This record gives sequence, structure tokens and C-alpha cells, in this order.
Amino acid sequence: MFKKAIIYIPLLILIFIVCANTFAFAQRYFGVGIHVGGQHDVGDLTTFYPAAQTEPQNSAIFGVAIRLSIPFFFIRTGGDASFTINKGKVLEDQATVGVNQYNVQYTMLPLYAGLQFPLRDRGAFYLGGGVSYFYGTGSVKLSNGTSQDIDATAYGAGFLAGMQLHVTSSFSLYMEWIYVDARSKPVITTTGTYNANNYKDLFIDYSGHRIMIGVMYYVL
Amino acid sequence: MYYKLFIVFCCCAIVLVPVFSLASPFNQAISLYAGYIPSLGGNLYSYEQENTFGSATGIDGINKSQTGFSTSQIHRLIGATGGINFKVAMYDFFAIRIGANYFKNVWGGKGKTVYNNAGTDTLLECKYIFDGFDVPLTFGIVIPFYKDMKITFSCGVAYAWGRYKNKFESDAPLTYKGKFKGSAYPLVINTEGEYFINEKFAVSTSLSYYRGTTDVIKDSKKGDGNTDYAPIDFSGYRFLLGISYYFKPI
Repeated sequence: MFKKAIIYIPLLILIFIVCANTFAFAQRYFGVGIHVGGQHDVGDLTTFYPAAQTEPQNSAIFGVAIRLSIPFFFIRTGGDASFTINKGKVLEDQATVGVNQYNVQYTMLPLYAGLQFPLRDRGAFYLGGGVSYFYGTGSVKLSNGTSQDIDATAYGAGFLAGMQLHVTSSFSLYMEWIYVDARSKPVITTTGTYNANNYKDLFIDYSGHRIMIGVMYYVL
Repeated sequence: MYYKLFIVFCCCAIVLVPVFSLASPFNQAISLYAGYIPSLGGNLYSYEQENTFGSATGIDGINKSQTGFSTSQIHRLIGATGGINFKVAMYDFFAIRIGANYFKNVWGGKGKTVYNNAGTDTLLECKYIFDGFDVPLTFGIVIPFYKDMKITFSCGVAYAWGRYKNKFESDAPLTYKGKFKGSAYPLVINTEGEYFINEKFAVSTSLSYYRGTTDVIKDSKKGDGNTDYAPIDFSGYRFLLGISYYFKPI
């Protein structure tokens, strides 16, 4: 997993350095931002067992955005890390579901592209599609009292919608909504009666909506 | 089914009567677009997946692995979609849109898992296919920004027809095949942005959300010795890019 991250992250940075020098310099439109946000129902367990009564996990997100713009087209990448606000809990019938509690933390590498609609010099509205790569950690407390660590990667497709408000010629405030649909392969063997054959069956569901607000500095 | 489509098209033809007068407060546009649909068909649940293979959540739950078995993840479907729509813009701030879209899965839906076959762990090969078309009709508000942009938010309903097939094969030997066809009227919400290259042409992008499923449908596949049941789920997001042509200069 880390080998992949070591390959992908420098590759993304290299692509953006090249892009920045090729396009952004000519267009003077290359930004780096930082943002905070949140996601509700992280690791949604009902996609694993639909009748599960859960107290959903909520997470805060901190991330960096790298944005390349040309007149009406944009590319957005960066990196986000989630931090648990409250763990997810199965409230009823844990003996069937096989899970008592879960805590999913992830790193997300997004790559989105689309159209942006500049509102003169006041800001921009933008809408794009793309993919995200997830690397998840955390733990799952099983119904037999043991705990298993999560080590799960996934790719997912989704979209991004956002607005920017240009505060000065170099700084902008932005809000973004990212939706991604992504699930890992099964990584944990649950201990409930739902998994009577002891298969590795619990996958990590990274799908969901993420709302973020941040500040972007336009380098070029 | 065809008479319903006919009624929809007649209503739309009345609404979309061409208005070419430059003084008219109406304008028309035609758009061509293409895009993708994450999670096409939802979790593709069917009764046999739960009854025989132990998955209460369709394609999500069917993924299992066991030491000694060479399994591979079965991903939810990603669909490609393309279509055309006609739009009447009224008094600059309102719009009615009718479209026709085709969609089909292009990625995911194939892989190997393991299941318990009467006490024996058995490798199972799975395949899911989903395609169909829909005709959305939406009404909405347009916000024009100067002469180079329009942002439209609209909502309405669509007539959607879908076909969902699945196939499960193992060395047991066992083959389960399901084929389901049906239609529904999902609700549609659409946000669209158009950036005008000149007075008549615009590049556009839109994000749509559909919400609706059919009733549970009986498997129409004959000769495989079992009868399956499944709903066809049209719910989900669609991201589209396209071009628009306005009949009159904006």
C-alpha cells in the first residue's frame, strides 16, 4: 500500500508541476488551498447488512487542494485525511451482524476535472467528475469481543461541485461538495451468525458526501 | 407502455413549438451530451443472491474471500450515458427540458467470490449487466450571468426503462441466470451550467440525481431451473458534459 502511495504522490506532484509550468503560467491561474470539512455516516454499515441499526460514524476532514484552471476548464487534485469525531456503533442485534463498533479513518487522493463558470472577477462556480483513491485504517470491534485493524484500499468514481469567492487577487474562499462511490474488497472476518461460514466478508464503504470549506492561494 | 410515451411526446411537442421571432420571450436550445453514472443500478439486489449465496445487499455483500480461493472483487457498475435534450427558455429565467438518454454499464460487475454450497466452500463467478433508457421532463429556474453563462436548476420526472441481467456460475456445477426488464417514473433533479462560446453555442456540464425503482420483477430467463426476483433501481447521480445550440442568439 505504502509503495503505491510513494509512487502516486510524487507522480501527481510532478504532473502538476509540469501542468503548472505549461498551462497555468500562461493563464496565471494555479492555486493551492487548505480546507476543513466533514462526512456523515463514514463506513456506512448498512451496505454490508441492510437491517443493521447503527449510530453512524462522523468524521472531520482536513485537506489540501491543488487547482489548475484555464478559461472554463479546471483540474482539481490534492489530498484529504479524515479524523473520527464519533465511532460508528451497531445498536441492536450485534450477534447477527457480527460487529459492535467501527472506526474508519482514511486518506483520500482525488482527481477531478470539469467546467468552471467564472462570475466575472467575483468568483466561480464549478462542476467536475473524476476518481478518488482511498487508503483506510482504523479498527472494527467484533461481536465476540475481539478487535481487527482495517487496512483497505479502494478506488471510486464521483463528482465535485464548488463555489469560489475571490477575496483578493490572490486569495479565494471556496466551498466544495464531493460525492464518491467506493468500496474496498472484503478485509475483515465478522463473527456474527450472518457470516456462519467464517468468510472474510466485511468491506469498507468509503462512499458518501463530503462538504468542505477552505482558503485558496493562487500562486500563478 | 407506448401510449404513455406518445402522450409525453405530444405534451412536449406542444410546449416546444418553435418560436423564431427575435422579439419573442422564448428561446429554444438543443444539447448533446455524454457522461457517466457511478453505481449504475444500485446494489443490484436479487432474491437468489440472498437465498443461495448469502448476500442481503446484492453485489456489495456477494464479495467474500477465503484462504485457498482465488477471488477477485466484484465492483458496483459504472455506467456510460449519452443523450440529447430540447429546452425552451422562457423570459430568460425559466426553462422546460425534455431529453432522451441511453445508459449502459461499462466497468465493474465481474469477478469471483466464494459461497457455501451445502457445506462445501465453492468458488463462484459472477457477472452483472445493466442497460436502459430514460426520458426526463423537468421544469426549472435559469440564472443568466451577463452574456456568457447560464446556471439552471430544474426538477421533474422521467420515464425510465431498464434491463438487468445477472449470472452466477460455479463448478458445483451450478448456473443461475436472471433477466429483469421493467420501467418506472423516477424523480429527477438537475443542475446545469452553460458557458457560451458565442451567441448561440455553449459548452455545458450538468449533475443529475434520479430517485426511483421499479416494483419487484419476476425473472424472465427461462430454462435455468430457477426463478429469481429483483427490482430495477434507477437511483443515482449522473455527471454529464456536452454542447448546446440556441436557436436564437442569447
